[in-house]
Amino acid sequence: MPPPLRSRAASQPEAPLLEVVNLTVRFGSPVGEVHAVEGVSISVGAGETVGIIGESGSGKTVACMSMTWLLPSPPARYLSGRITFKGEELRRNDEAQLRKVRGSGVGMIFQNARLSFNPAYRLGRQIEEVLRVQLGRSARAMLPEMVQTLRYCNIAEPEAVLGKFPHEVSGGVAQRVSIALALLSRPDLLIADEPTTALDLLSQIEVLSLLARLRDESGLSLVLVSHDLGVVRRIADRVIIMYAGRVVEEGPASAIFAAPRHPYTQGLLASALQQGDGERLYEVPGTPPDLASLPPGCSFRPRCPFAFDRCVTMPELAPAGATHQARCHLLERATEHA
Amino acid sequence: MSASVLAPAAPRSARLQALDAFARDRMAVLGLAVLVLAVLAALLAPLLTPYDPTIGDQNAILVPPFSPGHLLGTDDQGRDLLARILFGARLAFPEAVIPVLAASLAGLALGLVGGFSRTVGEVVMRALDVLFAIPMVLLAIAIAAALGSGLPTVVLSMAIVITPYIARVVATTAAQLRSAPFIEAARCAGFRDWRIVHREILPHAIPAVVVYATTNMGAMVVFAAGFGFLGLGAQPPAPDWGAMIADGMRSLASAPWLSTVPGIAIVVVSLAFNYIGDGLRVALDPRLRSRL
Repeated sequence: MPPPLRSRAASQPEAPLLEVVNLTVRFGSPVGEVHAVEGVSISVGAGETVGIIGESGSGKTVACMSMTWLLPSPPARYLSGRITFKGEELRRNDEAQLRKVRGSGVGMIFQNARLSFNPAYRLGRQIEEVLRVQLGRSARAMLPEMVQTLRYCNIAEPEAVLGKFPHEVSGGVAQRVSIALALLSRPDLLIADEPTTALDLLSQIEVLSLLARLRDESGLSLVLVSHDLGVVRRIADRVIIMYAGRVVEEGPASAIFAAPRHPYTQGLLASALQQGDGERLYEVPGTPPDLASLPPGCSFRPRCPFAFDRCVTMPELAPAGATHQARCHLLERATEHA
Repeated sequence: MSASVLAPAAPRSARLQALDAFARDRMAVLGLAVLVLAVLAALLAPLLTPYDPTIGDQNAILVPPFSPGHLLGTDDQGRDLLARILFGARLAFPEAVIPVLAASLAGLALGLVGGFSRTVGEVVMRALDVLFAIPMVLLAIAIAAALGSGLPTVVLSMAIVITPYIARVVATTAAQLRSAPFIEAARCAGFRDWRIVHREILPHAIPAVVVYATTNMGAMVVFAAGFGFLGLGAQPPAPDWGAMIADGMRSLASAPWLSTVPGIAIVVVSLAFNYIGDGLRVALDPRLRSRL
């Protein structure tokens, strides 16, 4: 069992580095409007690692892509939302500002790193191109730094890797190269969208350890999107659980994993494999809802073992502790009974 | 392309691999050899034949092929057919190559915009659809008829007619790549649309255009001959291959070589382009290449 990699200082953010307020994103589709993200607010403090957990289609990727207004519109429709980065509002139509933030403020890595490199060029040339655009520096001047950064990311033979095409390296190496590339422009925030999902177990551990080391050594803020609880549990300071486009629970990682308050989170945790557990694995009953035709009221109601009469209305995100929030009517009932 | 300090020479570059794959395709190599010879013959035509292609010898009318002095025979005005074929190649090649090159450039520009941009692209693609709806030959003839006959007209009308086809090839590639992860990554890295189009997408569109254009040049040799046949191309007494076939039709029974010889020339050159195109298709596609 690898050691937990949670950062030592669970930093209490003064002013958040990135703040997303009330983001709503929908997509038009032939079967109706898809409610991808509904009124989501996320804040990421300086040096903080935020884990976002959710099933496929829970809106986590759309929310992340929207952090720098990256989704083309159309087809995406931004109904509401305000994004502040380093105290400055990001305006959706200010291309120059967005390019600057995307280039040097917010780095992003994706699920399939090999596909995030252009198959027509060698890795070295692509890195050069990115650096030239972002930093305006020549590749020759950057070479030592680049090699050093790749070494930092546990690439054993940086020069050899730079001469390879994306399809010539393994997924794990490609992911570490893409992390190195993101680091070279010295971002304040790194968004990792399912960075380990496409990797084998050993590569997963390597990439996760690298992310943890980065967070500890560089003061970088990290947003880690995953459907893998184990991945998030090892790194995140704070955890956000998303379901059907909404945040259903949010709080410090320790609190969420020790005492989840939303039935969905409880189900997720129960379905994660416990060591030495011989019993049949629990699974959250039912399937994720169709985002084009959500049921009225709480989206989780059809799958919830505790659903009761009040669940026909959508619950608000309510405090469930000092820094812990959940979107569930059970919370109110608990306080009423107390 | 500038040499990259960060990409030291790999064991075997992609370019060498492509060359290798092409060299292994016998028909493509044969096609290339034929084409090189034909182009050389066209360039060196005055050195290869003592005859003028437009002035006949009244003492040597309708000499059959393989006669001494006239390898391919002469026509009803006593003009040497070999000389007419050789000088005719000087018309046939530009007629095939120039429209395709022009259409490739226009098609690349329109296709990239059409495939990549969701708003302007829609307008461009619908406009091209209008051109698609009109039969290609009919449209070319209509344009040529409106502008008057002659070589420039043929070239222009053919270029206009092929452009939508090349644009569609490019637009398909661009539209497929538009939402590819590496394009998303480029956008994340703060690349401008223009840079994404010409640095990230263009390299993927070019092989398809090269293959399509080469194969199309073969078709254009035939197409141009059709124009000549209809009298819309280069005007007499220019030795246009298509026009030669039309002239020979009158005496097809008594002197069949008059139409046959230019016909063979058209087929040979057209096939050469096609085989080269086929060879390139395999050579430029890494997936097909690795199957060899």
